[in-house]
Amino acid sequence: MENHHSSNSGQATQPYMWVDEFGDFFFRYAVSRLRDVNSAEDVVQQTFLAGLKHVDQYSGKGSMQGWLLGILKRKIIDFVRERRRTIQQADDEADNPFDRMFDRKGRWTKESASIIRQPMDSLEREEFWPIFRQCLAGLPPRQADVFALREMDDLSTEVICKELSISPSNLWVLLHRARLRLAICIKTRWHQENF
Amino acid sequence: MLICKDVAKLVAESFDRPLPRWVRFQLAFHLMICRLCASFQRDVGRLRAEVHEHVASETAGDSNKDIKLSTEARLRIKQAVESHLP
Repeated sequence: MENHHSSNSGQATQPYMWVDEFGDFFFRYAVSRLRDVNSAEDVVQQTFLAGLKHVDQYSGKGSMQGWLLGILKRKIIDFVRERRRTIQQADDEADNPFDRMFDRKGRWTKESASIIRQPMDSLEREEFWPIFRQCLAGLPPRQADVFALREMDDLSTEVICKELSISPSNLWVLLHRARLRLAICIKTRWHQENF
Repeated sequence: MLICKDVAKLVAESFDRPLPRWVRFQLAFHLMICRLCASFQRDVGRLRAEVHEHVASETAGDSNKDIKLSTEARLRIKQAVESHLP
């Protein structure tokens, strides 16, 4: 178990060992949330450098990996905040999945109904994650970013609003669109692959 | 009467904010009589549960072990760390 070295040894892992000990785990963590290899490599490097700078603040309580993971989570939020500035808001707002999934009277369209109606009971856990990753990567980036912070990092809506300087109603819209889109996408892809 | 479009939105939103009691009541009623919306509710619930489950096993170090830093990235990050060592 590569990730438990630090907690097992009861000693702080020396910084020159960090990349070998924690690099892959942190990269995996970052890439699933940021959906981009280069971005993930950047935040992992920033995490180690920040850890090095503040290593005297590590109290020795808890594992070194846990301490560094706290820094990584912080770096991911900072990265998402920066990235938001470069994304065109208009693109996300214009693309409302609810307009496509429902007819003018607000009923499920025939096409969306046929997707929704299919059962997903036999979707195995191992099958779920690769499909989810593709679907998350296919979302408008602002929706995917807030979904990752909310569900993968388990942040409250209040914290996300504060960190990203967005209003609660704006966040709720991004999140419910993301949830609808992901649910539909996962079912669609899974059925394409299996039936 | 709520329409399916509103119901889907509310179902998704119920994961992020508490809905007013009257809205919850209308929602429950619609979900009782509309199989499509009920199915959608199960799907978004499953999505959330699967993500949480997977994140927990990933944090425990049990999944996606094949995803690793590339050799070049590992080297680059190592060099960056080493150049900052005291």
